[in-house]
Amino acid sequence: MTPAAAAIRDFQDAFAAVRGEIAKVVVGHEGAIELILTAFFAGGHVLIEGVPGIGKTLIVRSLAEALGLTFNRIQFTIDLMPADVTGTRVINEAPDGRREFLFVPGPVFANLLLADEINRATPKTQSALLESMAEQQVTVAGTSYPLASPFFVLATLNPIEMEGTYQLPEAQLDRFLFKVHLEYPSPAELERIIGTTTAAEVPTVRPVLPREGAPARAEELKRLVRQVLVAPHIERYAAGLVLLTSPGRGPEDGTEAVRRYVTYGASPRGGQALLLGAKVRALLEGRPHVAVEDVDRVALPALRHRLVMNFAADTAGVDAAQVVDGVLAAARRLRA
Amino acid sequence: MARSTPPDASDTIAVQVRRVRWRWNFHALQWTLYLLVALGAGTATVLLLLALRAGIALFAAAGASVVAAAATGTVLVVRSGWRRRLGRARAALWIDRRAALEGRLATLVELERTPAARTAFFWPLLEAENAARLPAWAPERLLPDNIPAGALGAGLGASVALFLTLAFAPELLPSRPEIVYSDEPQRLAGIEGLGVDARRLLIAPTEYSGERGDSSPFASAGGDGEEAWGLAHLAGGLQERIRERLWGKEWTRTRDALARAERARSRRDRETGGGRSEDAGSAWELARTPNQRNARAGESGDAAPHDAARREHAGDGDEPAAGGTGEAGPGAGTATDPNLFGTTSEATASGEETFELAITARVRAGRMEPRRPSGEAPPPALDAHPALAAHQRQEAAMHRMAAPAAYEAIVREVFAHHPPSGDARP
Repeated sequence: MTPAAAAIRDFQDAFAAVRGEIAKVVVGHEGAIELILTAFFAGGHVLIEGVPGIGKTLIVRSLAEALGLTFNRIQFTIDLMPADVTGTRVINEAPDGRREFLFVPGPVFANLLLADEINRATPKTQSALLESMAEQQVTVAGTSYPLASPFFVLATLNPIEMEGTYQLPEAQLDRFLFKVHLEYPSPAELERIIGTTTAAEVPTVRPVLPREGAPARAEELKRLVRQVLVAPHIERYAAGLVLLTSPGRGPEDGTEAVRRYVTYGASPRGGQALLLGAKVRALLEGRPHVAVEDVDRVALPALRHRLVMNFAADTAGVDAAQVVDGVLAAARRLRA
Repeated sequence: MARSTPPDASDTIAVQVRRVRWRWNFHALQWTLYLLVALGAGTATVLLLLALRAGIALFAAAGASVVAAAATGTVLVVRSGWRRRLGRARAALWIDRRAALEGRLATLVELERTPAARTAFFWPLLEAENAARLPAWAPERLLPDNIPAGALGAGLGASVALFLTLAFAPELLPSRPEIVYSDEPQRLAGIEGLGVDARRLLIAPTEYSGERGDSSPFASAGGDGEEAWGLAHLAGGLQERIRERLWGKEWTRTRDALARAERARSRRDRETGGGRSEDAGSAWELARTPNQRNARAGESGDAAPHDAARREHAGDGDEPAAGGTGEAGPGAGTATDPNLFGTTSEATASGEETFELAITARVRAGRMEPRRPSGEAPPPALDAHPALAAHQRQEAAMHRMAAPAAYEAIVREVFAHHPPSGDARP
């Protein structure tokens, strides 16, 4: 076996092991878990949307435990301050009587951060996550503090109880690699959830990666993802998809839905998300290169939260997922 | 997954891509050519059939449509053939999709041009995977058929149809009008506007299909002065040329016979006020006695029919030698000289021999054939310089034409001078 083939096999094994461990405690949501893991290995962040009580927090905590990484959770509320996220400086008195400011890291200093119900915090606090998500560092009082690697933010959104919430700004939405919808469990899954969570022995997650070297091992796997080969025609395809989501920028025969319902299309970050997600998919398929099908498979979670829909879309009941589906169909037509 | 990449894997792959490209492009070229042949032969077949069997109007309209469709088809076929062509840039992607290689080949071929990619971690694996899949997209496997059977079949079918049309074209020659001489009135009962007893009938069993323009599919182009020249005339000329090429002299004789029948039908239409006989399937001609003709001429004030061929008289031996009042006797006055055509030749009435027949009518040539005069002749102008009449030059010598010897007896009979019949009705 060549080193490259062995590396791919190693990646597949690690991925499958983590997924298997999470599946021990999380019933259902296989697709969502796969997307979350994909985003993790692609080096992005994930926005999870789902009603309360369907396992959002459990998934993230299980992921952290399976990967053997540090995990913090912030419950976003309206009175949460940016310093509560990033950390703050406090006056510390030294033994010699000298007083100095000492930086006390906030919960953002962890490998995995769960920002629960992020839309309940004010935009100011939400923005505190911006720098950490984009640049993997926090700046407090003019001093920048690097965050741990790997750094993975999972933010959750509650689609109900919209009263008293603050919609995430587009700039912050754009920083999430994927947006994952957690569907309500099926009756069979619901029975299993009730049964397993109320039994005498609750299943636990065992770390897949060795706890000491877990961050380094995770980073190694993420680097492998970056090395997957991407041909120019795949780059063109991904760029074409992004352009197709923008009204007036795509080809003439783009989708009518984009022209009618979309105010702003995906940003270049959307294209990056497509390719990074596709690279992980390629490795999972055992390929050293990205195929068009890989791009297609991650297009929906990578693009739907980047589209700014207009009022006509609201009134017509058209959501971004439908528009992305139309864009994919148009891209296939153009490719044929 | 453990594969060792041969050192020349990239070269082998490039050569195979080139082979696939050549094979496919040759296939596409054949496809285009065969379809063009099919289009051309099909168009020619339809045009030939139209030229041989359709009237001028139908030939012009349908021919133009067929030619336009063929031109459009040619453009489409050529464009489609060009699009089928497999360029160097597209070849790898096309093979990839066709052989379900999941982008392996396209990625390898495209990234081969970038030096950084060749040193990438996954490059050797990609190369090895492509090398292992070489048999999956071998040219013979990717494109098993060397020849586009469908296009070839279409081309052959259309060519065979064209060949058959050319081979059986003589069979499509219309039958010549049957000339029947009879002293007995034939099928005249019930013909409106004709209270005559015909002495001689020239019956032309040509199809009568209604309007004048397409009354006969074998009518010649440009016959009437009212007909518009232009496209119809061009189409008519083309149709005539096709018929002449395929049917030869036989067509010329048939066409003349058909034209005579058509003229007879037209004259009958005029005389009967355009009414259609019950025998609408046939055109026919009546040869009337001089009494009838002169009476009709006297009524209408028209000059006698211009065509000498139609000035024949009933020639029964028991007819009176001289007609009624005001009629000239045989050979007298302005009547035709009985010896106008000279003495009987010694030629035998068989084979291909011909005899010479002098005709007095001068022929005015039209564009394609003699145009028939139409309308009323203008009144003669007064001679402005009567003095010049003394020096007026003689008319040109009579033309002579060759006619088959077998026709000599008939022609002499038809054009002979006969005394007017006594029982002819005015």
